[in-house]
Amino acid sequence: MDESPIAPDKLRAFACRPPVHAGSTESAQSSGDCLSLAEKFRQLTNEWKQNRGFSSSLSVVKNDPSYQEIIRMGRSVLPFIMDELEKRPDFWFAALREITGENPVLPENAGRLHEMAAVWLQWGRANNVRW
Amino acid sequence: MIDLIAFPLLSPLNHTETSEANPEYNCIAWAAEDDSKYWWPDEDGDGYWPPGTTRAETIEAFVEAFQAIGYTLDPQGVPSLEAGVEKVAIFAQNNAPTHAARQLPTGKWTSKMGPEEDISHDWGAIDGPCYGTAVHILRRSTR
Repeated sequence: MDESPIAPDKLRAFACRPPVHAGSTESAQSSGDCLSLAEKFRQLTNEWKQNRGFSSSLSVVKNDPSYQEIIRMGRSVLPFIMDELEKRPDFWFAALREITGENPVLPENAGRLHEMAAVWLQWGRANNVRW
Repeated sequence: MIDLIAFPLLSPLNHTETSEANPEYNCIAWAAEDDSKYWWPDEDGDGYWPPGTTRAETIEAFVEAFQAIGYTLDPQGVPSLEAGVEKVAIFAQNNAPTHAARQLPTGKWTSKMGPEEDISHDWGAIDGPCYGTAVHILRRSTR
């Protein structure tokens, strides 16, 4: 079985092929799960941004139910998060830490969205996440 | 586009959008005249918070953050324009800090609406269910 990573925009072309991440032990439970992954991520992301509204609170960002649901989706959403982070940098960092157990951002870069995103994108490439 | 349900007192007559949406900085940063960082004292350390100040989501910690850049609490808490004085206001809802706004030289106020636009607005125009109301005004000499 080919375990090469799959970019998010290719996902829907496969009947049931989870995005593979180096070190990932997760797999889709059914073809339905697999087919809906991109849509589910997009829907949850939209809900999260809508729920946050005009709040600046990073606790509101992190504790949002849709954001938490994305975290529960596990490593399979890493390509989608990386894609979002590259195109529309936002505070995905708590999710990335929860999912990967890592934190490559230096404390002196706190609050610097582009620098934080760049470090995580670099981490993604180094860890064979394809998006 | 500002949501008038979240801000029922906003109207076209009392505010003007002054920037595009930008998630790179937020209301606290904007009030502190820093559009390069996102200021928030979250426990995870994702947001910037002035070194040496209390990192907590409390009104007191927000006061401390503005004190760290030269502001002092205005005991009268008067939002009117005073010559030679810069003012910021801290907003809270249910005793939790939500927002900060900065007074412009015209006497109007400027706010960054979370990750969305900056607006200039009248005092009181953003009061409501989203940000609550101003609980403290701080002041410093014009720089």
